[in-house]
Amino acid sequence: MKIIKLHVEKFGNLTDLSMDFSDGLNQVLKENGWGKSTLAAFLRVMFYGLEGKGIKKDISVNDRTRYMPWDGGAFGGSITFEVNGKTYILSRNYSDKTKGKAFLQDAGTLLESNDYSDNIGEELFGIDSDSFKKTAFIDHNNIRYLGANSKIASRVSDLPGMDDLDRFDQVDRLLSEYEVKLSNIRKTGALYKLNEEIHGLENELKKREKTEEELEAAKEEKRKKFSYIDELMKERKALSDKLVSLSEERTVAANYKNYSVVKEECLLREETYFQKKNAFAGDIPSDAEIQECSDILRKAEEKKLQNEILERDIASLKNDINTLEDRKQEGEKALGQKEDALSRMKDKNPFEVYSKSDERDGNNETDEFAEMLDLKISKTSSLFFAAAGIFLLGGVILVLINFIMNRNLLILGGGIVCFIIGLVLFILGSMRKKKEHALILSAERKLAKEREAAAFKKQEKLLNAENDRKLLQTEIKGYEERIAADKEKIRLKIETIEQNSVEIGEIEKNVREFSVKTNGANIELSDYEEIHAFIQKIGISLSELRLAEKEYLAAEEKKQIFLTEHPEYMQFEEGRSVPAEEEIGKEYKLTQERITEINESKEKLNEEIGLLAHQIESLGRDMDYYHALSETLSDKKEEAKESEKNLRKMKLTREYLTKAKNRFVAKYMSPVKDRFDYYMDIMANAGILPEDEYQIDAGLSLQKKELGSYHEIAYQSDGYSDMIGICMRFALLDVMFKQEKPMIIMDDPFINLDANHLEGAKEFLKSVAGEYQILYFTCHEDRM
Amino acid sequence: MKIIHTADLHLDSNLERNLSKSRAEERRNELLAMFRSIVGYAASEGAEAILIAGDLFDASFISRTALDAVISTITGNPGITFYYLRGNHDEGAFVEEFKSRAGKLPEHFRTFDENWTSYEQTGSDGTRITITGAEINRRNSVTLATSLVLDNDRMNIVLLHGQTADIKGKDDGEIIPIRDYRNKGIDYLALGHIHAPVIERLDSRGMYSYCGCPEGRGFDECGERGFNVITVDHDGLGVEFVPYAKRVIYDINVDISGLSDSEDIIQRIKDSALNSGVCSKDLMKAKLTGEIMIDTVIHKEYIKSVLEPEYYVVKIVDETRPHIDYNDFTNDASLKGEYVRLIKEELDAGNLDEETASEIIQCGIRLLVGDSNL
Repeated sequence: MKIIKLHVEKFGNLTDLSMDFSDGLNQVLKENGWGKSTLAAFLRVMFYGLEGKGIKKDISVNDRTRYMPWDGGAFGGSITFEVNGKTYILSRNYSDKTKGKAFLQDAGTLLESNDYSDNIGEELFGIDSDSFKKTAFIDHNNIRYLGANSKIASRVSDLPGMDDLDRFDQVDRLLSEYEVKLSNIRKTGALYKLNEEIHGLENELKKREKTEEELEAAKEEKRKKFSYIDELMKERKALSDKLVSLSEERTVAANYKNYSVVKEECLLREETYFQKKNAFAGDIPSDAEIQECSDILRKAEEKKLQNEILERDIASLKNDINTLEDRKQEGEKALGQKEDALSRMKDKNPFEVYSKSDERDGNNETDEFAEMLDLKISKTSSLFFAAAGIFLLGGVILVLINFIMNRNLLILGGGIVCFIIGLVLFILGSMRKKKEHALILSAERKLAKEREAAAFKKQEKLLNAENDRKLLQTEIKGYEERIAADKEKIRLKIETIEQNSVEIGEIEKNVREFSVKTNGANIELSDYEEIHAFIQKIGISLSELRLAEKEYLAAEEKKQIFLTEHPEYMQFEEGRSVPAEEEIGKEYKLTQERITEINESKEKLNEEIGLLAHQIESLGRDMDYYHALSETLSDKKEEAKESEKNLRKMKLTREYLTKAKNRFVAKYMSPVKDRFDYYMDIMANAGILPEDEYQIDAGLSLQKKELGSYHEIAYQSDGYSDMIGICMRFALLDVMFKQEKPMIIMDDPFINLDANHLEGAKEFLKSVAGEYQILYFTCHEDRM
Repeated sequence: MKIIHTADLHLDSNLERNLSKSRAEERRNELLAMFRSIVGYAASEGAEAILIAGDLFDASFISRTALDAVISTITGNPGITFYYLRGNHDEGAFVEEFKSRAGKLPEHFRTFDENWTSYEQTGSDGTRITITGAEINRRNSVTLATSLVLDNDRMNIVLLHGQTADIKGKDDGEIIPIRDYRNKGIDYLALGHIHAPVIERLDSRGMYSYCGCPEGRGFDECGERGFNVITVDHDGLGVEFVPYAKRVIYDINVDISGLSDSEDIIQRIKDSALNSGVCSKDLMKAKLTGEIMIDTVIHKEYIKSVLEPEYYVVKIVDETRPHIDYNDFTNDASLKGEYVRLIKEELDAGNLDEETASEIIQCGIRLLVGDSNL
């Protein structure tokens, strides 16, 4: 293949440039800055298109940036070339519209040709741009041989399965990119970032323990505070109960006086009751017994009185009998007289018999009787009244004493009792007097009647003068009858008296028995007064006892009612002492203060709990966050593990693929070595390079033997390296292009060569120009 | 008397580790609905109590939605007594929140703390049972078992949350030394923390059981999930596991040996899924196994995209091995042949293990044939 001519429309600093080329060596001598490299690049770009897409700013790799005209317009050109006996015109125009797409024409017909596509470089040369730059395109900046690629190796080899080899570089690049992408060393590597992330997560998670501790501590603190609040509440409850209790005690203490009064009264009443009870040396009689005793005593008294009356009556009757006897005698005398008188009166007015002296006598008798009764009555009732008076007076005095001097229930009670006794006596006395008066009135009426009868009789005496005798006789008879009657009366009365005496005796016996029973011993009672007094005393005692009992029971009931209404006082019944009100007050105040303290503490604790709750919630969220982080960490670690596994796999794959490739290409490296040796000989013969030993490894890398071992030629001087690179390139080209050889573009390749070696270089050029079309650009004539 | 034993609902879980955001949200709602469903089941079956043996919630922070749902479900079923034991996840403020919303905890909601707490449950049929529980923590884990005292004459259920020495949970939990709970008069030890159902004999009298989570959340929780129904009568106590999960998670192995075409692989997966009982509502992880040709490329994403419409969630894991007959490459003059021979030499030299050798052969070959997926 050869270039016939070119035309640069616009490319870099080249504008409207046309050149023709011939077979063999075509030398272009232009000064520095003319655009030789640009021209060389133009040739490359025409076949392979612009390179460095996506790396806009780096003009060293971005052809568009580098070669676009400054005015930004379209750029491009055309090349006329011949290959396989056919001539073509290849044009590229980098404008917005065509975007540099290759346009191929048949040079003969100028018709568009589809023999090659836009990828014409690869199709023509069978190698990609990179391979082209490593072989046929010798740029003074890129002369040094840095190894072949798989395309070159593929072209160099005849082995089957070159598709694999062709693909190797891409695979290697893919794997390399993957390694870079996944690198755990490069900061941009995914594994590195993942490990950084994992490291970050682990560091972050280190705080979890502390947060967990803080959370536990906060929960514990909260629990403790709640517990403390519970205790405080229990204490408050107890204190509240205590307040209630103290209030009650205070009320109790305040009301204790009431209780004291009731209690004292009860005690007093009890004492009085027992005093009264103990006043009975023997059995305590019942009211009925006393009453009965009193009644029977009264009865006895009545009987006695009756006996007395009867005896007086007897005496009176006896007197009466005597009188009647006298009168009878007198009557008899009078009868005699009367008879005499009658005899005499028969001569007198029988109606002047009655005289006032008779009436007077009758009256005297009656008066005397009445006087006697009154006296007796007065005597008996006077006693009662006297006693009544004493008791009444005594009662009044005692009451007065009670009110004036000393409020003593005993005195008051005694006074009242005396008063009552006095009243009773007064009533008894009054009753007695009434009774006697009744008797007296009865007697008086009787006497009055008798007097009337006597008077009437006397008056009838005169009238009955005649009858006087009869009357006298009758009278005497009457007297006799009366005397007999009186005697009969006397006999009856005596009988009654005897009967009464028996009854009185019986009664007295009963009374004695009663006294023994109640007194425990027989009391010698001389008279009924004493007995009455005794019975009264018993009665009074019993009344007092009853009263005392009643009062005691009343006091007791009052106390029980009080205790029922105020059961709190039962404790005092049980002996509890009453605390002082002041003490209770102090205690109450202290308790209240403590409750206030507790409430304040509780409020403060609740605030603290609230803060703790916030803290716990926040820490809880943190823990959730750490939990999520932990899961993320696990996932990331898993991912990292997987990535590392993949990375290792890819590294191993790349390593072994490379090894396999090297082994594979080593099979075809010997032809390259032969041609390299050929060109090195030329160089050596030209004196440019020493005759050193070199080897080409399976990767088509070139190594020089020095000091017994092989080293990369990169360590050589520039001049030597460049020449070696040229030899290697031509060796590869010889093996790669056995038939149709490509043009060789050389952009000042000897720039680093010593001047004394330039002749050798020229000789080398001449030798290779016999096989290839060389397009040689230089700025120095010496290098031509 | 029927009692439901459930645990580890992990309401409000993130779930985005295995699921997409939308699916994760959907599953969170399904978990909440599961709780309501369990309570509904209890109500319809006449169960009188529900034991929640820990981890009702997944985290300390509980969303408003979850709180509302749980609280309303509990308060709306006063005929069921809820026994709530907290686990290692739900140490949050649920109880306090419940208390603050309702004024006080309802009487049919019973809680536990780090000390043993016992409650009496009397059934409508007259059977009586004592339910005792305690929340294990680092403070009480050592002494808890020894401090448990039960009335042997009563029927006893005990609640705990933690892991037994022989069963490991997904995350660390407090250890429950099962042997220390033997011969303590326990008829049923209701446990939480392990997400797979387990029923084992405790001693001659009773048994212990993890009811498992009622709904699986990830591919590590495969298989049937549900809860236990405990039936108590005068004769004793019986336990039955009730599968109840809305979606079952399957982890199936699919042998695709000899297959290379994606469609064939897809069909093989479908057949395996059908045989395993996977339904359209379920989650499925298909592990591709077997030996495939070296140059066979498994397009996991493509396979997943084809299968996804037919199941709720699909995950494809490639655990296939390349079929490598080294003899095939003995005379292969290509770079592939050179590559395989080289690796065989390394394998024979002991520089590589079989698995690595087959992996890098597969990788290298696939790359050389044009598969750029690394």
